[in-house]
Amino acid sequence: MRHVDIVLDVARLQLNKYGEELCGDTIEMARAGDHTVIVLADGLGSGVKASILSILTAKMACTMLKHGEELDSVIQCLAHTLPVCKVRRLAYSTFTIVSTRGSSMYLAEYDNPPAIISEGLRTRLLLSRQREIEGKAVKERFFEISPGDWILLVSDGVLHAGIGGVWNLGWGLERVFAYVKSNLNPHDTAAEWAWDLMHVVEKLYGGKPGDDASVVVLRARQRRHCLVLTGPPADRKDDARLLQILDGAPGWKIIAGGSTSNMVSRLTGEKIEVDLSSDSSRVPPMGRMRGVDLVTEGLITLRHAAEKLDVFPRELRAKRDGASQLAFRLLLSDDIHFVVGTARNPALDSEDLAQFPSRSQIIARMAEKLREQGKAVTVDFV
Amino acid sequence: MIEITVCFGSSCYLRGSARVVSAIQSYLDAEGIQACVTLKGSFCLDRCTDGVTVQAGKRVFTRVTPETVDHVLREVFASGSVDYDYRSSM
Repeated sequence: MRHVDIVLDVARLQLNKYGEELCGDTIEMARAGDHTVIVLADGLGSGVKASILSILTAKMACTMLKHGEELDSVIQCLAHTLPVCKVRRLAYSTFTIVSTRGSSMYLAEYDNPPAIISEGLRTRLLLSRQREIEGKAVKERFFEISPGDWILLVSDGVLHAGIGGVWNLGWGLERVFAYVKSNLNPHDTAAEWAWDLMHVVEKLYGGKPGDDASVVVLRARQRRHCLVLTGPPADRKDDARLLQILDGAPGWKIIAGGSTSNMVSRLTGEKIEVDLSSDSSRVPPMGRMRGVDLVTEGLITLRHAAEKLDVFPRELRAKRDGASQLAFRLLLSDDIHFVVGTARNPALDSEDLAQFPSRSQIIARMAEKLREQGKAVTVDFV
Repeated sequence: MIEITVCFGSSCYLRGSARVVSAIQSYLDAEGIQACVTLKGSFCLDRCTDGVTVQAGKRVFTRVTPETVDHVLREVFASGSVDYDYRSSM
């Protein structure tokens, strides 16, 4: 099979039961390289008790699995650690575990609603088994994931949404699956899906959730790369090296800067076309150059783009200004490489631009925001 | 046909490139000569400290403002030809 560099876009969102300060569901996630572990635990009861049970379960399971422990020892350990409820004489928390490494996915479920799995992924089920571990009936499944696959982990609070009201028996598994298929946009991110799903849950509950509701959205897709060249190199001898980086870069190629794009244009002979029909009310217009996906002005555009890294990418997709289009591509990328030129630019000494933070300060802020979102960001100065 | 290019580099943009473009468009509309002109943008015309920079044919005008657009364009069109070998700002 052809090797595909797969990434898992993961998002989680929770709603507390109406009037509760604590959520009785806990979602825990750990990532190291291409290994991802996600645990959704739902503690017995609600409030503090449920919260403690689910936190212990999720944290312990996630930490142990991350360090390569088997599920059996995780469950053994939980059975001996969880405090026993005096009323019910039980130490109990349901859980769903997803562990992926590259394109292999392991799913273990105990008493939680079954994971909602895309049709494509269901066809790539390699093995399914039911086991008793410490008296608990655990269902385990192994999948081979491929771009386009998705899987939702939900707590029962999601399935019960609208119970006795909008839906006699709540939203239910089938209807959630149908909703994803017909209402969610395949171009949207996992975070956008999670947001949309929880919005429905909240509406079905009439704004007063009758139970803690949690959703984890996992979507597999091909890894996306983005290169941003901004600022000409301090030493003109490095111009050619910059061009090599541009040529060899996988994924989106963006040039943010007038002198930088002029330099590339001079070396490649490709013309820059500024699109005067694009929106230039807040930032200079966008440009085009063959071999480059987006050309923009530098400082002003970058500063505005940095402010747009907190929004959902779908809000930027249709915007026709350079900052939105730059931020949109960054938000959709997994591996981002900024190459920051340090040549002194006389334009930046002008009074109008003196108030601006420097190029490297803006890039540092962007890199920080993008890393917080789990992206791999490298910044090189030339 | 004459090509007019307005610089949209950082410095020029802050000094009002977008308003200069609007002023140029208004002038062309008023004079009914849009068909004779290709209006373009550039990310840097290398006169960063003297923006807004406007290039008309081979002539380069610096420190252009929306208020001086009429004057600049009248000069461009009055000359009857754009094939100057002369740069106003030099």
